[in-house]
Amino acid sequence: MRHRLAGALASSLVYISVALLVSLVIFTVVVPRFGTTRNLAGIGAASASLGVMAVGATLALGAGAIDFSIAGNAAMTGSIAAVVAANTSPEMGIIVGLLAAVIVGLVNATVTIRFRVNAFIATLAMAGSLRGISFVVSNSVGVFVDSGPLVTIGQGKVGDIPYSVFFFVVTAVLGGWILRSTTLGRSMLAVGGDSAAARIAGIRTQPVQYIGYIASALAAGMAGLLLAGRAGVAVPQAASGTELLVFSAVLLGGTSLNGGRATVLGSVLGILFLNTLYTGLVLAKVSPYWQTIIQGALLIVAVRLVQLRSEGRDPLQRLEAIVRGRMTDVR
Amino acid sequence: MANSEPAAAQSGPAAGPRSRSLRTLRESSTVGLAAVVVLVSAVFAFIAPNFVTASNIANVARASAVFGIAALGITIPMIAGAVDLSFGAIMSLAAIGTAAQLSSGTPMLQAMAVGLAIGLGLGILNGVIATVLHLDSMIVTLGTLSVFGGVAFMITNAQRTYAPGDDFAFLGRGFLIGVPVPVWIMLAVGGSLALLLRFTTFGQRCFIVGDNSRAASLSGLSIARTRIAALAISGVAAALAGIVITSNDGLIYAGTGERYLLQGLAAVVIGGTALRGGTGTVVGTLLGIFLLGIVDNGLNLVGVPGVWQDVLRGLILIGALVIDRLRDSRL
Amino acid sequence: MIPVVTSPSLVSAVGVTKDFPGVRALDNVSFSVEIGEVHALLGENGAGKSTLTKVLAGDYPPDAGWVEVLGQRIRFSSPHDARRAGIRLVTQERSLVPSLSAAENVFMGVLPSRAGALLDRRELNRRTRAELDRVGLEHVDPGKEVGLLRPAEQQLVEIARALSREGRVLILDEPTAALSTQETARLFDVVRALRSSGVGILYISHRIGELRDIADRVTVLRDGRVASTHLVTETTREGLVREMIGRDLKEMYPRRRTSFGEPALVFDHTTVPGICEDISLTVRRGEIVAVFGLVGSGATELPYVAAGDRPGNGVFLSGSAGLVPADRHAEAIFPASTLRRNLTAPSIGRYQRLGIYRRRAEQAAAERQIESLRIRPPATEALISSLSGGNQQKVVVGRWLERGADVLMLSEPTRGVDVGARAEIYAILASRCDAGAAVFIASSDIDEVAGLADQVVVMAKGRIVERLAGSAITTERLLEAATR
Repeated sequence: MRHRLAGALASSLVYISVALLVSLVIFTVVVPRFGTTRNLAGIGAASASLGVMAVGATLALGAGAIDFSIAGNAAMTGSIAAVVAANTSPEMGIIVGLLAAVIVGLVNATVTIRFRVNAFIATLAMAGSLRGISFVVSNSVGVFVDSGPLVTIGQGKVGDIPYSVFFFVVTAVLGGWILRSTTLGRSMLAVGGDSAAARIAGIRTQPVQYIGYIASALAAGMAGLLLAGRAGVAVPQAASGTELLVFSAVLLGGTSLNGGRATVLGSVLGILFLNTLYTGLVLAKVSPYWQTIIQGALLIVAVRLVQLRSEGRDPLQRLEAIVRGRMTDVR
Repeated sequence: MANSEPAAAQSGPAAGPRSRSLRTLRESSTVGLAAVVVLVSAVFAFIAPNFVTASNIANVARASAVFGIAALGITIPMIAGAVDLSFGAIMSLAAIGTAAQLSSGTPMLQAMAVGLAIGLGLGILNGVIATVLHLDSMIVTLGTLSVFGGVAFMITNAQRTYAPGDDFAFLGRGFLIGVPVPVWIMLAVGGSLALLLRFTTFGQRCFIVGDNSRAASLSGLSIARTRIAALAISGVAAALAGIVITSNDGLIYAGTGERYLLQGLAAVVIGGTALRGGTGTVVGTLLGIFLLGIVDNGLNLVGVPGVWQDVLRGLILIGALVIDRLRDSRL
Repeated sequence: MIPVVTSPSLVSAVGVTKDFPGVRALDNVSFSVEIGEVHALLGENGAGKSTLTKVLAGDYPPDAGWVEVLGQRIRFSSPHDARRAGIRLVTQERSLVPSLSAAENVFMGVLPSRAGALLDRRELNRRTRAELDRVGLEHVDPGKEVGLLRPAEQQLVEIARALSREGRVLILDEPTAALSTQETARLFDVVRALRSSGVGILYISHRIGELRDIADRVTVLRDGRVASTHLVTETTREGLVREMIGRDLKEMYPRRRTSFGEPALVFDHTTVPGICEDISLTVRRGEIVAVFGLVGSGATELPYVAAGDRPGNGVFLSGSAGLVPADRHAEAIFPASTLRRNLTAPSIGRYQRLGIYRRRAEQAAAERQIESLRIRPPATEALISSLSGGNQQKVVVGRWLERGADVLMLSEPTRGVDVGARAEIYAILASRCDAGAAVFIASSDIDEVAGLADQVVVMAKGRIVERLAGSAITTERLLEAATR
């Protein structure tokens, strides 16, 4: 019992859980309309597409793959799917869109893994190009998505809960399962933690890293489809600026930017937290830009905490040691 | 990697390609870049007759200068191993400060001083956070990009801030001896930064710290002081760039600066400054700025639509990064 | 004990040559490990031991010659091929992923699974338990994050991994460097058990003393060539040392000094959490004091404490200090810079007049040091990476001479340095001592400590366990104290 308590205390999820809980409680108390099912369902719906992106980004980061092109990729996928759907069938649109997303992932992987270009800058550049492609494909205007599975998933509801939320949950469960319970997921974490060591241990590291980029790209593409379906129109500006939000959420959740440590549940909580913050601030008639400011500040704090954790110096790890009654264990 | 393994004695003055000097390598890459600039110009001159007219050259130069000033600024911390991603947000925030002062009737120089002071302060803040938390400045400035950007949006409530005054407008729109004033400013900034790097021990410290910060620290050099100073310089340069843009447009919007993120980084990286730090030149960055400007303008004149330019810009940067790596591995 | 060589060797290198830019790391090396044999490989740093193991493990393709397994000539195109051929390698390089558990590290790449893709955590923990017990890690929880284990425990986890994968040949590269006497004895038991089950073991070590306990044959490599192969029972320590360094040990080291001056560096009950506890020692001018200890003993870190990089209480320093760090590539070399700048970095603030940096002054300083330290090539603008390890190390020492440091602190001063440059570095240190400098070195190289120091403190688990001075400093006493 004591060990289990200690383990729970030391979990990297503690910080983000507390942050989410505190923000939910405060907003529910302070802002009258915040606690309604409808509003909470709204937070869920807003979180769905970002959350799907975050799941992909978490898998990628676990494998040591930094992909900053996710927002651009989402916009591009949405635009391509909408244009293709308008000319052929909605299903064809989805297939071609996701195919394009995956190709982007392959290019990212090749540039950063084969040519060892700094992943952050390379994928940022890719983001610019993808945004451009979205404008080219959609002729700089929105392309309507008025029927087909995208609209169903994007706009359908069970009670107050949109289908897209279920889609998000399924993606998150799947992503978490891959990372925790499959040998592939464990290999991704090994490669992300130290690719040279993983190679020596007999893991073929390149394919694993490629999979990281593809997971991220595919998730971004699906997020783009969700966005288009929800709005009923694919706009080239879609998801603009959300890469920062998604990465902040993932890092807030306890995933390491250096690879090897990743938690899908943490990312999900991170996304919910940032969206709660945003919605709460809007409803409280406080400038919603506080959300961006807090997000940036917490990003820095979160990265520092993960760094401390890998050195065994996270305050939570110290607390765990005290609970276990073995202070000597902590270096 | 492999060639670090053997350690047998090498006797006598080593002959052959391995003893070639570092300076030759650096100079050859700058000359190579200059050749590319000339070549690209020649191609455009050939296919777009308007390219070589005086007014067009002035246009190219003016358009390049506004983000060029910021790009020159971030060259310094990048050489010192501190990537500054927040320069765009600093541009906006400093410009908003200046514009707000001008609107309330403050004299022009005083208003500009306010903007530059904001840039200085934010640059120092970046450096101090990175030092105190022992974090990579790329992470810190990614966070402060959100924070500064959020503040810019919050204080302006996402509205434009106008900057009145004909004297002030001269900075961005005027000509001096037939050359646009922003170009003079950019050349002045470039010149002083080049002198700073070449002729002060601070400049030399930047190279040392960027090359291997751990070794520099064990050699008794202060990483913190060098990097904070370098980030302060990029903060001031970003502020100046923001002020010039505001002068040119007559107004500033909170999101303006961040739009230059990619172009600014691209100019520096194309210019041969290593993302890891330790190598780089101001002349290289200037050539990078010209190259990006020429390509943009040339594509315009040739009739490539604006949206395609976004696509190409990203791909060109990725190409430059790949070439940079190939060159690096030859080294 | 010694197998009769009638059947083909288990694994052998046949005429292997391997070149790196500017240096031949292996020159026509032939070498074999028989079934049920422990074959020790001895050699100085840079003699080619690591390169040879990497050729055998498929990491480096040989430029000439080939590798045979059971008489079959095979072409390794990757470490995978070597692994498939049954060759297992435990290197000195870190090959664990610190953020993952001990269990996942032991079975990395071969995780037990159900349905081909699902991690079988229960089976993983059960099998890891057995493997950890085998190498004496009964107290380590399989789920514990490896990065939080002690260095010696991490080393044992690596060995557990190699043992867990059934192989025909096990290559152990300095496996005992970080281990205590008990841990070493435990490991030797495991190695003997493997030998009797027919596994061939290639055992690389610096410690000549322990070879008698574990090896059947010993091969000495020098400058990339095989100097000799003997039955261990037919060797003497002196003979092996002479074959390793190509001359008598006495010629390597300068004469001991006899008169010492004022204290220049004093530790007074210094404690740094995680590194050392209650350290007291004095380094006088004109004296070389060495701190000796195995990996993880805290010895290597002591110069960093002295230099203020790891602050500790009770450190007193009089004079200008200079630190030569243990890891040359990570902590000392400026890889994108010239030889000139690598010599002058600590003094950069001096080459100026009225705030203007003077390149010419820096250039002159660099030329002076290159001349007096005989650095090769003598080209100020050469890339530092084009220098040999020995010359790079002379540059790192030289940067402190240029700075005028008279308290020199060196951690593992000759790691990765060839024999010739080692003798030169020792001579430089001795001459600085004669000129009134104080020298403090930390080293895990027992011969270096015994040959060079006027006074030695031996550390184990962060504490001083023995003090020796003058003629009392012998390798036997050092090793006995360090593994106590």
